[in-house]
Order: sequence, then C-alpha cells, then structure tokens
Amino acid sequence: MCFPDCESPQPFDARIVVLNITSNIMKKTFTLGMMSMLSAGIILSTGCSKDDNNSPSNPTYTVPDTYNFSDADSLGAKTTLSMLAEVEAVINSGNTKGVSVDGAKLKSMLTNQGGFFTDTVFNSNTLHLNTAAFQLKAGTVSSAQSVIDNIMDSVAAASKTGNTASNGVAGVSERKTLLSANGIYWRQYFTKTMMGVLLGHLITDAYLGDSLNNATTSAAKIHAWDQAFYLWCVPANFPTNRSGVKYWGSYTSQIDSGIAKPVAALTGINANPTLMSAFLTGRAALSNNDNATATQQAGIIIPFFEKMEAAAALHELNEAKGNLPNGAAAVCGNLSESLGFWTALKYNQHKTISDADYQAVLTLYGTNFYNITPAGIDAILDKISSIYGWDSVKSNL
Amino acid sequence: MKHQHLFTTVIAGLLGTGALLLSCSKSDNSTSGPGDPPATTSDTVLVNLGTNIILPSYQRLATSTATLDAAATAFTAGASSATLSTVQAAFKDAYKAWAACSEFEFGPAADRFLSTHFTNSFPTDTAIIKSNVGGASYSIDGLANFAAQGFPALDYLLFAYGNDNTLARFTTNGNAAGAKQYLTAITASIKTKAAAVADAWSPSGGNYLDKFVKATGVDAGSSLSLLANSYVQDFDVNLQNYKMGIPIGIYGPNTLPKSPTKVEGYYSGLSDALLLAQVQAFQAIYQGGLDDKVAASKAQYGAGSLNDAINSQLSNLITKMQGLPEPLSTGIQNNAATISSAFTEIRKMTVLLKVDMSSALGIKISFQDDDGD
Repeated sequence: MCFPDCESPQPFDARIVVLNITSNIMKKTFTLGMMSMLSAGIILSTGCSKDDNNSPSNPTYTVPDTYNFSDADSLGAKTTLSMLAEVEAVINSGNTKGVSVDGAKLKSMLTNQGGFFTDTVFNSNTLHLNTAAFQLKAGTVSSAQSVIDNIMDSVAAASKTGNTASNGVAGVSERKTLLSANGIYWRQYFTKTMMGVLLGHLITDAYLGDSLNNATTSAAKIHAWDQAFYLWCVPANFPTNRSGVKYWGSYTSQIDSGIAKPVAALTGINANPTLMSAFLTGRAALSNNDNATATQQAGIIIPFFEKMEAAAALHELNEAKGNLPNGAAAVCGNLSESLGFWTALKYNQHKTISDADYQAVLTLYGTNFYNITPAGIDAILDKISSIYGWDSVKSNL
Repeated sequence: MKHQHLFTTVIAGLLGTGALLLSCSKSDNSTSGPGDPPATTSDTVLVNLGTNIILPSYQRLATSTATLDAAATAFTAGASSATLSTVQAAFKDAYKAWAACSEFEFGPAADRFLSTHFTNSFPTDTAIIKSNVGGASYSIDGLANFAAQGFPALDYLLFAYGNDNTLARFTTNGNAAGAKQYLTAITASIKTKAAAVADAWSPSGGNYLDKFVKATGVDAGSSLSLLANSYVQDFDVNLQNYKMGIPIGIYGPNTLPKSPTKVEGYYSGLSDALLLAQVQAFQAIYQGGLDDKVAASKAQYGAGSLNDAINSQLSNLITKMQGLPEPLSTGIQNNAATISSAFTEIRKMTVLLKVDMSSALGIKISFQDDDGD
C-alpha cells in the first residue's frame, strides 16, 4: 500500500530546506546519529518489511529545541481553549453568593449555540468563537458528555440556593467557592474532568490520530500535530518560558516537581521533558515525511496521559494535605480537583489501570468530602501510588 | 541488600563530609572534628534529644491519653461525680503531656496528623459540638470537624457547664447518649494517634528515632532543621500568638479587641498550667543539647554569650508563667500587669529563638507566621 507522501519521497535537499526554515532557532545536538537510533529500527523493520515508504530511509533533519516551526498553526487549539475558559468564567460567577448561574446557558455554550461566547484575539488573529465549527460537547468523549451536562445542572442548582456552604448544605463557602452538599467544588471538578475528557481526548484520540492518518495530506498531519501540541497549552519555547501556561501546561510542571513552588527540580514523572521531546521530535519528523518517527513519538504521548491524569490526582491530594490547616472548603477544593482528574481517567480510552484498581481508588474518595479524614486522604494517595509504582516519588508529585 | 548497604554507606559518607565541612567553617567542635570518624552516622545531641526527650514525651502522651480514654469510657459507662472527677484529672494530665509534644510536628507526628491543628485547635467550635452531640452525622476526624475535636473539645465537654450540669448532660439530658458517644470518639482518636506516633518513634516500632539521629547537618530536611523549625514555630505561633497574644488583643503589630475566651483551656481554667508546661518543655529541649551547639558557635549576645542569654530568658519566662493570674481569662479581663509583663518576655524569647539561636545553629527558619512581625 502506498500513500501520496511515500510516492514521492523528499530528496535530501528538500530536507535541507526544512533545516533552513528552522535555522533561526536553537537546534539540539540531537541530530542525525541520535535520530537514526530513534527511527532506524522502525524504518528498517516496520517501514521496509511492510513496504511502507512513508518514511525516508535515512532521515537527515534536526529536531529543534523549541516549537517555533514557521508553519505551525495554533489557532484551532486556541479556539478550544478560549471556549473552555469562557465556560469556566460563567461557572465561576456562581462563586458569589446570590448569583444564580443559568444551566441552560452553560449547556448551550457546550454546543456552541446562542452566541454566548465573546470573540478573543490571539496574535492579532480574531477568533470568532460563536461562528466556529467547533463545539466543546462534540469534542468531549461521547460517554462523558452526560457527566459534563450533569455538572452544568448541579452548578445551576447549587447557585440558586443562596446558602452558605456547609456539611450537607450546597452553597458558597467562605472561600467563595460554590460547593455541593457533599463538598464538591463544581468549577474545579469541571475543569479537571474536562482536561481529560476534552483536552486529553482531543490530543490523544483526535489530533495525534489525525497526524498519523496516512489518508490525509502531509499538511493536514502537521496541522493536526500542531493542534495537539498547543492544546497542551504551553508556549513554543516551553519549559524555558512558562508564561501563559494553563491546564496541562500548568500541571505537567506541577507533577514534575510536587507542591513546592517555584518549580525547583524534576522530582516527579518528568512530564515536561517527555512531552516536549516527543512533540518536537514528532513534528520535525512530520515536516520531513518521517511518519515512522512521528508514530513512535505519538506512541509516547498517548499512553502518557494516563500517568499525567493519575499523577495530577495524586498531586492534588498532596495539595489537600498541605491545605488542611486552611479549613474544609480549601481541602474540598483540592479533593474536587483530584476527583476531577480521576473522573477524567475513567474515560481515557488508553488507560491500562484495571477496573478493580480504578474503582478501589474511587471508593476511597467516599461520598462526602466533609467527612474525609487526613488519614483517608493518605489512603487515596497511597493507593494511587501503589498502583502506578510511585512510592518513591509520591511526596514529590 | 548489598546495594542498599552500599547506598547507605555512600550517603552516610556524604553526610559525614558535610558535617566535617560545617564543623570546620563554624569552629564547632562539639559534635565532630578532624579527628573524628569520617562517616558520622549520628549526632550525640540528636541522640540525646530523641532518646531522652522526644520519645519519652510521646510515650507519656500515649500513656496519658490511654488513661484518659479509659477514664472517659468508665465515665460514660457509669457517670458519677467520682468518674467525672477521674476523667477530668486524666484530661488535665494528658493535655499537659501534649504541651511537651507540640514542639515536634515533623516526621511521625506530621505523617499521622498528631499536630496542633487537629489536636489543639482553640477556641473550639461549640456549635458543631452541640450539633454532633445532638445527633448530626459526623466523622470525628473529618474535614468538617477539625474545630470540634481534640483537647479543646474535651475541655468544653468536661468543664463548660460545671460538674453538676456536666453530669446531667451525660445522664439525664435528652442528648446524653450523643454526648457519651462524642466524648469517647474524641478520646479514642487522640489515644490512637498518640500511640501511633509513640510507636513510630520507638526502636521497637517504626524506629524513626534511628532516622532522626542519623539525619545530621543543618540543611533543610536534616533533623536539626526539622526540630528547630517546629520548635520555633510552636513558640512563635502557638504560644506567643494563639495562647497569649490574641486573647490579650495583640497580633503582630496589630491591636485587636481583647478575647479572653480565646485562651487555651478556657473552660477548665488550665491555661496557666499549660503555658508553664510548654515553656518548661522548651527549656528541656534547649538544654537537651541545643545549648551545647549554641555555646560551641561562640555566638555573643550583648556583653555575654548567646547561650547564657537564652538560658536566662527561659528561666525568666518560667518565673513569669508561674506568676500569671488564675484563671488567665479573668486576669485578661482585669488587665493584670503580670500578663502584659509576661507577654513582653515571650516576645523577647521569640526573637532569641527565631533569629539568634537559629543563626547560631546555622538553621534556616522557613515557616511563615503570617502575623506580620
């Protein structure tokens, strides 16, 4: 089987053109030799034996240190991220006592109906969110869409009570957080769940999948890979530059260094270097029609999201312990974030955790955060750590 | 196991080298010197503090809280003036034992949440206690219950209404069953946590003592750093701010309304005894070897040595605590001069510990007291 890309493999001088395009940015010394170590095995064993000529037999490109590819396109990802942030802002309005949140409006925003979004400008490009084809709900794992709808309804119901939150009473806490009767901080639970069922899903299932779809053009693959990278929500020269990071762009640093701030050292699961290396290498590969290497790099990123979700759930438990002196509402916030990540993991289609292990952790969260004990928080943390083999680093996640 | 042994040896060697460098740079020959064995596996000061002060303090807390729990159980099984008196006495003994443990909120105490926040958060939340006693669903150590557990909650349950009414609340009152259940839930929780921490320190248990004495040096994470930070924080935040400052209306540079009901042990009137027990514990810890290290640093304070200044101030403070009016809350209402005089000395002590002692020891104090001083 032969695809358009492999019918006319790029000659060596074409790759030089790519090198020239990126010549204004720092290059890794990780070039030819190391690239061949990464890709040669696949090229020789997979590429040749399967008559897959997608990959050049002798890649000679350089992987840059930053994502400053001249033809990189981040606008699609920015549209998604902007929509998500605007839904969060509406949910946040319920954190003020007496403000009722319109649940129907929230659900309309998820399906991009009703013109509730505000256009945003990014790099001089105006993103017209209300007329964009993208819908947050459609981008969400289908089996999780009802979970998100239920959160919207719960936000609306809790905000209408006008109550002060306490054990058994939904309302706004003294920390200005809208909590359920059992202590779930809705906005954080929403965000962390969406980081998996929307952002993680789009990155791993949609865009990286499209990047590897040989039925599409090279340009389409590259475009899809760019969306996956920018949904990480980091700048091109991350982690040297950490400005503007959000969602996973913030959490990959947190699970790399624990609750100590500022980020001091890599003491966790090395998410930043793992993702950055894979995204850069895969993108450079696609730019050079080296699909085998891109496939290999996607194969690093896709399963890694399970670790990120589990590690982020554990990280928030460490945060919860640190927040214990600050009272129940503060800890409920961290536990809600943790449970959000754990909920996201449930819908991760690439997870390897057994159903029994997943459920065992879920059970430990209990049914009422107000009644969870410090030892109970440790029990969740220890169980996650045990499942993923993180006992030596669990305090640093 | 060979790998582990090798690792231990290498780490011990590194630690030993660090101690050697430190001792050279600070002219501190009290613990190690050029003629000492190269791999220092323990620090004699840490050995003394851990073996003769910290572990016995937790053992006493474990014993006294077990006695308290037994007395509370006996009281709830057969409430009488005699059993009430017994459980009240056991409470006072255990509370004073806690005053000699609140200085060590690291390692096992932190891991098992036997800390001031969970054990001695005052003033206690009487609304939550009444709700729980009245039949509300609660988790004794749960998030919603931090302000209604520990010694302050017991202080309320056992002393707030006078002996006759207290007896009635545990016998004839409609919520008597709830009161009994709540009382023993708290005593059982404290007993369990105290036993767990004592066991974790014990050589026959978790043997954190061994880890403690071997974590030498003064870097963050060393036992001396953990101890000094916890010790100074307990003095600065718990003793100075919460036990005295806030009740008399002083928080850092701010003047607040006086809040005499916010003293520790308000209902039992145990405030003075607890303050004295805590300062005596501070003195014992300091003189358990920190004094040797401060003396070896040759740090000066005024015309004399810093060590002499700290010892003198500790003695002075004990005298001040012994002279406080009883109960403290009434003394605060009456603007007793002995209280403001004692508070002045507490603040001097805080500076000596937080600034001068930590500097002499080479310890970085990293906690935030948030009171702006």
